[in-house]
Amino acid sequence: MKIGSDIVKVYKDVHIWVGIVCGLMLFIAFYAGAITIFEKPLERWATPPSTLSPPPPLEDAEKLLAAVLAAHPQAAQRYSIVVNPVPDQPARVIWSERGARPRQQIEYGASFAADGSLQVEKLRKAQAAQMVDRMHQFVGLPLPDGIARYIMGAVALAYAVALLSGLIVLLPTLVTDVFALRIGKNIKRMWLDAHNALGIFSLPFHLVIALTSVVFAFHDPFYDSQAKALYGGQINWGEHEEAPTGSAPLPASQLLQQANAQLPGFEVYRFGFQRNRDGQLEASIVGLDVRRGARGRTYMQTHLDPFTGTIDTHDLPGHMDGWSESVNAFFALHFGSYGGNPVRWLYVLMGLAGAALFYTGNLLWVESRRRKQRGAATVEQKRSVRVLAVLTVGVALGCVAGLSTSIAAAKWLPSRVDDLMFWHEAIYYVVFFAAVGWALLRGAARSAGELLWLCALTTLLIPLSSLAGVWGIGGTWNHAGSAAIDLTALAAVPVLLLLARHSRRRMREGRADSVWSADMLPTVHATAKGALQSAD
Amino acid sequence: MNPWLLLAILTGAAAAVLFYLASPQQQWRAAGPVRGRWWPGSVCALASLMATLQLLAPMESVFAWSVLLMFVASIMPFLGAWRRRSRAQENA
Repeated sequence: MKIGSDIVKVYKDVHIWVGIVCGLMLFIAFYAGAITIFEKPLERWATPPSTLSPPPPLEDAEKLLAAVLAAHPQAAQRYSIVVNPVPDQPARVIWSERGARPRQQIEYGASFAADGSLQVEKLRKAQAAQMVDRMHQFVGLPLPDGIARYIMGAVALAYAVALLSGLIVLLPTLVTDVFALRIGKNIKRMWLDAHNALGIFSLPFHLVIALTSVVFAFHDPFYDSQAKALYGGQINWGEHEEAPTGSAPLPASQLLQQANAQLPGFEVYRFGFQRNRDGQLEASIVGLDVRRGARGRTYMQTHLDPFTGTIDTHDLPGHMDGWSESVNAFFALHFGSYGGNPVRWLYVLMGLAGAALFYTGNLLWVESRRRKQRGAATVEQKRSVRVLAVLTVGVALGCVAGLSTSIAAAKWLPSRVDDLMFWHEAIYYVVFFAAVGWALLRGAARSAGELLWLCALTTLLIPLSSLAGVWGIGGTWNHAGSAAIDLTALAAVPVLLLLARHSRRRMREGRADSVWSADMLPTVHATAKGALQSAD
Repeated sequence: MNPWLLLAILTGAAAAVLFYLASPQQQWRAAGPVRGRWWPGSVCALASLMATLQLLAPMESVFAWSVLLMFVASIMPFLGAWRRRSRAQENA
């Protein structure tokens, strides 16, 4: 396809500068996003073991509920009956009460002790998966939600612009260069090919992720504008159906039978019950049908009549109206909440490939601006090149090491501190900023290998923390069946070490006129030297 | 493992590999690309989509299938370059 060189140049400039400004934030979003895909297993892995006795059978759920309501009548306002209790939902009956802080809900679980007496435990939610999700949603920015969310939206919009401008730049050579990866003396060509290889075929995926992120970030303003423009201030969500009436709700075991008959292929997680303003009982069914995409990241939810077991399917994918299906698709395509583990793994790999796309984009920028050595004279690279190289190494590897350390800490924190989220974030940012500082101090070339070693060590801490849990060292624990998290982390360690080895080799044997050479001064030294020369 | 899932993954991955091998830029085969032979990849891609449709709802099938093809097509240039390098080292 022929496009004028002046047009290509404009789009190339747009692509480059948008990429440079947003690339590192997008690296964090993609790396953390890849981990978030397995949010539930991570949450289970990170949840401290419950002190409750094993849950009674589902057939005895009503007996347990009656004991709970007798001792804690406030539980009648909102409670759940869990079909298959798991470490992060360890009780058959769970209810929530309002906490002291706004929107705070405190969850309690109940079981029967061996002597038949009621046991109640305040459930402690693990925060590791939420912390990773926060880094994903707010592109790693340590800012309040209200600000970080809009910055993330602007970054996502810029990311969409970068994708389209990149495509236009590539169009003239698309047919000849597709699948090309030329590894040779021309390093700029190699990084360009690597960047294109990662970007060309995954373009539809990236466009979906970019556009859905914009929708998520500006969700509230979109709805506010819609309400003002179309509904005179208040969106019409349709008629609220009358609450069902009856004498007593069906037992959970019967509700489950009814659900299995009405929704084949739908795995029921729990039944939720709550009293509306008129004191009437309303119920919902929560679960997942992996054949369809879910609006919730890990579940689908709809109403059911607790007295007959009839499910109102209009909130379930495949039963919604056209508009709701479209909105549901936005969420599902972003979350990869369909197809079960095979699709989740694909999303993890695509997320990591996306992170590599932004990393290679920065490497390409650095290589494109390298001042080449001619003759014996030493060449000093521009400060902008050195700074971007250092930030690329420090921010990207700082994010990897920070997330690994914070996740590993999940098994040590609950027995020591109360505010888990604060500590998870504090650990992440301390490691992250220490890595960036280290990169500034040591320069891109040296710090790349060293920080990759740090990434490998901190990632190794994840399975080591579980191993400590096998012996209960320092209040740690290990749930049976949660080895997938440990094995994945363990598999990442040799990959990181291999990358560290390659980085060290590049530092020793690479071109001397590159920021990746050991001969190049670290950024802070070079900056100080530059300042001294200016003063002279 | 569900046989439809296995079929969907294998034929989907094979489709992307065959498309790569048909490309003039492929480096996997020393003998060069399988020129003009886009149909084996297309047949595999179609078989993969059919198998995915047995597992998931239509929209989810198309997206899962395309993500699989996108991923394998993205990594094939790297595998091809690695293979070429290994071949060169063996020949040296």
